[in-house]
Amino acid sequence: MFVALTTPVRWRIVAPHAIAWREWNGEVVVRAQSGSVHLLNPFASLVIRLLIDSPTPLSTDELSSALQASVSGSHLGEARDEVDASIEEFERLGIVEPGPS
Amino acid sequence: MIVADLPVGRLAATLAGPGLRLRTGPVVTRIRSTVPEVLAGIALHYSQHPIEDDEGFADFHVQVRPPPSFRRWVAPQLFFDFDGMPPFRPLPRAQAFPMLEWGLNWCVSSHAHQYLIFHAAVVERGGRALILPAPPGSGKSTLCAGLVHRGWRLLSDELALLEPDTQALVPLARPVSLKNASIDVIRGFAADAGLGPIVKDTIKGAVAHMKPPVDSVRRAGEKALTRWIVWPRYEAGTVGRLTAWPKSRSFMRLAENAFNSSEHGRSGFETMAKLIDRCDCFEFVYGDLEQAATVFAALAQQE
Repeated sequence: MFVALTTPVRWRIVAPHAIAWREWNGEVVVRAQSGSVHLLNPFASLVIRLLIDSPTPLSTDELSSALQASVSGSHLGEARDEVDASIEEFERLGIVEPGPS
Repeated sequence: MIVADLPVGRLAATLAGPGLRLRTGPVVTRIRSTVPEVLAGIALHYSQHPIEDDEGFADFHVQVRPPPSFRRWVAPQLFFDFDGMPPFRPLPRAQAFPMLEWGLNWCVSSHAHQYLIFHAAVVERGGRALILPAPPGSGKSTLCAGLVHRGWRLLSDELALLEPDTQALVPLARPVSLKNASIDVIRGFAADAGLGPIVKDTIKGAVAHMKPPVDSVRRAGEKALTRWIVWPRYEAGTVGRLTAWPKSRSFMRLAENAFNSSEHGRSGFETMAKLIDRCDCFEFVYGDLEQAATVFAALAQQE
């Protein structure tokens, strides 16, 4: 019998004061800590808004569940794939980091 | 005192000696040169600009000069010096005035970091400014030149200077640089356009400068708040029309046209976001300058 020894990674915005963002018409423009500026697609914009608004770090499961409800017609698996892709990109850009579980 | 107050002989002596302290909007540049084309260009294009006294402060010290070598006589070239050093390669002597203009643009875009600076033309009407950012070849300068001959005030053909604290655009009314086919377009559009000589075979093709309108030069102290950001593109045969452009994408395109956003860091992002917030953003494809001017006249009538 195997027991899961790891807990899911929970994500948070890297030092909120270090990034800047603005939303117009459902699309978020974000300035990363490095100074680079990025236009997020509508789905990634929803992901980043959840992370910005959440007082605690969120797992990809929590993000997927929240977004499944807000994106009509999306299945949980599809939402999770898109959340994973968004988080991977955000981490590469230095916008999010793993937080305490 | 303005440049036109100086007899040509005294203007030449000032340029050759202590330098001409030329005020263009918020910037004073001390210009030195013995090159006749520079003298002629300044006398024509900057005749209405103020000049400061010889002891006054200058933001930039520049010189257009021949090299101290045989290239003074054989296939003659000229250097543009900034604080005694040439930041660029020399250019053929025939390009003396365009070289001065490009050098002055570089001085401002590389050093005037009290402003957030965009590569854009700016015009104003009824107290509201229109920013026209665009890459070279888009028809930005042609449209700008056309609009200033149809009731708009020229703030700049090349550099939008945005004050971060006030969101005001600061005028920098200087000659409008026209390239290639645009030269004849403007010549046909406004007989009194005040075009200088055509300089061929520059890196941008044939170039001619258009003298800034006197009213725009005299009102160089009047800042303006932006109301519109329009991305122009010339396309032959097209009936010009404005198409709403998303603010998020306008922000990104504007960022691509910013010279010094990295100098302003996070506050530069916030300044740009406020600018986008206050503006209506459009794309504008046009094929006829007169019809384009009509479209913008109608835009200026809107609340």
